[in-house]
Amino acid sequence: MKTELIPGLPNDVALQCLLRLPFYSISVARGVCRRWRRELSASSSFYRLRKAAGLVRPVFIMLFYDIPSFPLYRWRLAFYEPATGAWGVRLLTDDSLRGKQHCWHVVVVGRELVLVGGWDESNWKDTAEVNIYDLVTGDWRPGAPIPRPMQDGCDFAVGPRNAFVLLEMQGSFFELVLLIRLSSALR
Amino acid sequence: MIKLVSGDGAEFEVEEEVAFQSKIIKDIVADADDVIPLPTVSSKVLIQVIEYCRKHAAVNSFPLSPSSSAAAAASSSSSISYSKPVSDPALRAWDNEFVKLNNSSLFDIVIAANYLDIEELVDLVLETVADRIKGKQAQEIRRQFNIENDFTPEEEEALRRENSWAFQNN
Repeated sequence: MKTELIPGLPNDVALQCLLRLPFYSISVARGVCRRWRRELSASSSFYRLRKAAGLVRPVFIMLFYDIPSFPLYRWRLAFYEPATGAWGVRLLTDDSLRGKQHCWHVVVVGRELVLVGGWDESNWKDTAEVNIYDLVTGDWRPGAPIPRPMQDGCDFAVGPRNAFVLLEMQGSFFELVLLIRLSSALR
Repeated sequence: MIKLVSGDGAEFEVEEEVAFQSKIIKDIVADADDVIPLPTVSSKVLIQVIEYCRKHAAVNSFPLSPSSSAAAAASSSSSISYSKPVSDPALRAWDNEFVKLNNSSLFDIVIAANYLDIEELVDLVLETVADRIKGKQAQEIRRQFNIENDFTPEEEEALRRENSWAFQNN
């Protein structure tokens, strides 16, 4: 197996180069080869090292949608990096992710975007699915579903370690459900 | 004066303050003689490294000019600073010229600078390599750094969709 990150450079030096990439280059770099993809995977120590080295810059993320043709909603993400003035836009969901496109409940926890609920097209009803999007790597992963779909009056509570979702039961009785517990790597 | 001997046997006499840009050489000189063999560094690379050290030793040994220290104060007050940016604009411009080299020459320099522990030079090259990666598409990055594409065409198509920031940098 070829183990060089960058041919001609010792791996520790090559890693130092990759650590200096701005966050918007990381998701592109993950598409260079399998070795880079592994190095830049969400579970890798890469992000902890990058943070420890003081190479993480503040980035603003904005989530918005457009409606190319009703009833298709397309979620988009925009980023802006104040230190460099760099900005960009990306499509968050594509046509293969229809369920997520109808999600109206979104919360940011750490470096992840949590989409709560979705849309079951064949039965025309809300679902209780949870989908989690890593803002740095661009990876999707499924979260544990909530007990039942979100309704009006439901809300979120986000703390430094956990996020909760507040579900309405009957009338004014509410149930607090743990939505996501942040792993230390993502904080 | 300190004598540096490259791997291919060439000898270079340099002033202490130039050689001491390297922390390793500074440590060696403290308890050894003044002839320092550097068997892993070729004379071609050593010439470039000495050129860099000479420039930085000269600038570092004089106090900053009023205009550049004002610039340094302004840049440090603007919220965030990274590794350790060279604050003198003239020196920074010189650095930018210095790194206008192909990748393999840059790699040779960073390997030598890493070995000699010249922190500023290592930082400069790492930043330069990172600059050559960022803002580029995967295909360009592979071509520039001789990296083999080991994804299947299907995987690559999926990656391309997932990874596309419609990117702006002003």
